[in-house]
Amino acid sequence: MTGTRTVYSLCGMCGARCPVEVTLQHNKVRWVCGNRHSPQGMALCPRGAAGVNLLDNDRRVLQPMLRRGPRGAGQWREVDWDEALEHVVSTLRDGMERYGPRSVLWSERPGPHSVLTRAFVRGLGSPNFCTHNATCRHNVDEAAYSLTGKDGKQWLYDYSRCKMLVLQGRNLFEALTTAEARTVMDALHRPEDKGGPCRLTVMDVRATISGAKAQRFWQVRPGTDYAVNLAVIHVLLRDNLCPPWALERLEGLEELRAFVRAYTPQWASAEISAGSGPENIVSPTDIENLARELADAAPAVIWHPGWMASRYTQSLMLCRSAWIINALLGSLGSPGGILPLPPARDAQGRGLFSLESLYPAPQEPRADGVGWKHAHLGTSASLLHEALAAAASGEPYPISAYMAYRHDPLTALPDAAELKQRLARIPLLVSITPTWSETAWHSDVVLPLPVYLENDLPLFPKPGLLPRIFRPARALDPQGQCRPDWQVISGLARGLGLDGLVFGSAAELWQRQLRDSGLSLADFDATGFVSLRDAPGLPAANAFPTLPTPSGKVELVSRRWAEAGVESLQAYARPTEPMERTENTEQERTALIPATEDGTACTAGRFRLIIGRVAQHTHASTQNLPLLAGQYAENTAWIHPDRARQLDIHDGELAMLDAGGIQYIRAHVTPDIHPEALFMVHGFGHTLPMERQACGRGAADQALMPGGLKVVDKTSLAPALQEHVVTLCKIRREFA
Amino acid sequence: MSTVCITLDEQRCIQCHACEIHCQVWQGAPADIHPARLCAVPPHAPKSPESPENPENREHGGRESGGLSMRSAFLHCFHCEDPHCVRVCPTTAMRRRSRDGIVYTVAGLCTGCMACAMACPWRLPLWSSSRERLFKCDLCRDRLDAGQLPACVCGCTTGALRLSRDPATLAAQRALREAALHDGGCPGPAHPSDSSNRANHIGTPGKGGNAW
Repeated sequence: MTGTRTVYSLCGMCGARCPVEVTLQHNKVRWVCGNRHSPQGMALCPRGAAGVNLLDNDRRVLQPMLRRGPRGAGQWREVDWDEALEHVVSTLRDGMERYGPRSVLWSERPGPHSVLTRAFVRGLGSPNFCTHNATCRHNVDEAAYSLTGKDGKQWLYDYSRCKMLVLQGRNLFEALTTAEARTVMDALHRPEDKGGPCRLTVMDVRATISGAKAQRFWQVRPGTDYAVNLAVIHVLLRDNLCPPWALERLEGLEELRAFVRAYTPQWASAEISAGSGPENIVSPTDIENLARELADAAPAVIWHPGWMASRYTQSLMLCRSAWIINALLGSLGSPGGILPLPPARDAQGRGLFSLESLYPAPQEPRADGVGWKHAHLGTSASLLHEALAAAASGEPYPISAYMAYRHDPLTALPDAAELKQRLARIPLLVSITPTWSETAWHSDVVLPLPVYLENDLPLFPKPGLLPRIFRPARALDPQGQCRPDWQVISGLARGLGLDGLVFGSAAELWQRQLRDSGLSLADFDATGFVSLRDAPGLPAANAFPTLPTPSGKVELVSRRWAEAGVESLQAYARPTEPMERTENTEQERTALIPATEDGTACTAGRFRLIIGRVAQHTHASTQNLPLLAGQYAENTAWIHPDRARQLDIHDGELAMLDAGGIQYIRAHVTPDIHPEALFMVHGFGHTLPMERQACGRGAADQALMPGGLKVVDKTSLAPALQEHVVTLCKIRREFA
Repeated sequence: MSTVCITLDEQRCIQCHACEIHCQVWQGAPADIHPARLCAVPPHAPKSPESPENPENREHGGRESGGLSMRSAFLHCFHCEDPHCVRVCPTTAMRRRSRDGIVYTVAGLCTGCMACAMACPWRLPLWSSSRERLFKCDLCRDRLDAGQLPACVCGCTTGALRLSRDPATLAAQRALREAALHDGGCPGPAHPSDSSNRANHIGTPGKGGNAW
């Protein structure tokens, strides 16, 4: 087709960073699909497909902004970059002079930009680099770290050879990563001559797409997954179902055996089936059969430890038990199981130059307590909400500046009111972002980044069995005054004397990264990426690395944790029922709702709030994009028909959610959810006025979690986002 | 029917609707126009009384075992052998090319009268008032002519959509559409309120304001 050109980049619609191919016609984006040369081919999920909507999204910020009125009032002054950078640099410098470099707090959602930002924060001398992990993978990572010395990101799921996959709440066909969904789907349909199909088991509180693809689907009571895992471990050990060579790789087996003695299939069946209808009962035999099937398929099994695992106050224990099941079955290190992730290096060990290595790691203690107050947590852990608590209290030291980079914690974390109180103690708030967000709206300075279609990002390695390095190159020039990440960091670095991070162009940055790699920029031209290996770096059968744990083995009882006084094998705690959660009497409960004129009060139902995803949206960042809003415009509250009947709420009816804050939401009445649960997709209920599609649509779950910053996993301190009870009420005509 | 059609492997489909969006973007369609439609019955337990699937018809009910069922169908222009839309078009804007039977629109001749939309048993031609033009699946004929696959097929997240030129597959698809027309008792233009025409129910949005 004439006038057509192709640009290869990495999609910026979510953290998956799928390789994309942007087709331009006459310098306009005609189409975005997967990079045909990459493992996923031209496939690209609905969000990636909608990338073109990013360009004229009215949520974009196109100029540097300085706050005029009070924080959050929405009064802004457009300034040029010189003024914006001068303001940020001088304020940062003053703050660091008064309170030390450690007083600069940084948080971000990681991505290709992270090689720049991590180096920058190190260069400043601050230890306080945080990611969004506390509301994401923290429990998965800490569980893996405590058992294996490697966090979750250093392991790879070998789906293509897997014989049996168990997903607990990991809804991977809706919380989509294109390549992963394809690989798992291929495994589920693997031909007999290639080993036959992978069998799938899914456990969730509601019917999901992933559940509908499973041969075995269990609807479980919210918060009881840990019971399943303990019972499975019980059966595996009781019946000697584990490969002996797998058990030799472990330390602490006898402690585990004693620990799970009481957690029988009978016990677990009662726990997980409580409150379910008869069709959803999971019997003790069901649990026994699952354990036996796993043992038959071992070691090519994956009991998925989860992704967004910040759900319950025992989520860390749940994740840990998942990793333990994998270890017991020999999955760790085995083909078809969970493999150590090979780094993005070629056969000679060469990879990209690390900008972070330009600066020494700061030795100061972190404000969030990782490494000293919480000595059991891995060194890569971060707890932004704890760092903000430190800012509020001044202990261990004050925070003079908080830079939120591509991160919106006022939406991602619960209790925005409390967060704003903590932020009030920080003199400088800067958001560096392509779009407005709750956090940007509340900031003092907003520095605009381009959307990915207009951005040249640092070279980005994707480690794995076939590691590759990608070059995310722009298809279009940035709009307005947006500046690519390398240029924003250069501006800040120049002002603060960090010459190693000052680049004159993207090409200069890329050349610096390619130093000592044996590669040149031209190598990226044909396909947008370079493969570092010709053949997969498969482990030898039964080869198992010496792990970086104190014993060198998988530590069922972590020695590091023991030293820090933390229990590795923690007893199961039954979730409190939402209906009985409060000491309120029946009278008090109904008195929460204003009485009608005839004196009868609305009945109110109490539910455990469950949050999740749909394939068409990424958290809270895509709701304003017309192509995606056109698919899924507002979230609904899934509730069971028995509960809906009690409340006289009908399918599609607008209802009121009360949990301290009030939100309005349409009910989706479905039998395919546990009666205790109220499910909604996270990311709706936007309040920013410029978002013409998203403003006022649907409900914000994070506004229904009062005190949520203190409702955390007991051991990992990750927020427990599903330990909140909400009240759903019918809206009576009399109130309208 | 054309000599090429698109098939959906229901087992692979995850109802993500990437196909619809890839189609929209390739065609330049606005957000409210879906030239291709992924019609979905979302995941549910077929045994439950409120389920859309009648327990008596379990043999039609999705995948065996597991406990959950889901149904998906991909609706796109079927490029009929004797298209109603071509017959009723007053300006010959709607035409069928003989080499592969693809039915497409010549935009410069289209007046927006919507006779094609009224004539089509599946209401597939869509008029966009914001763009002042007609949108309809043309099997991405410009991509096909360049040796590429349609946008929906290329972009499908899990590879559920395939392009087929296999005569047996084409014949089976043709039989399916003919059965839909004849069982609905409607050989010609359908009235929107004709509830006996099953063909009109394909793509009816689900309940509750959302399809899921």
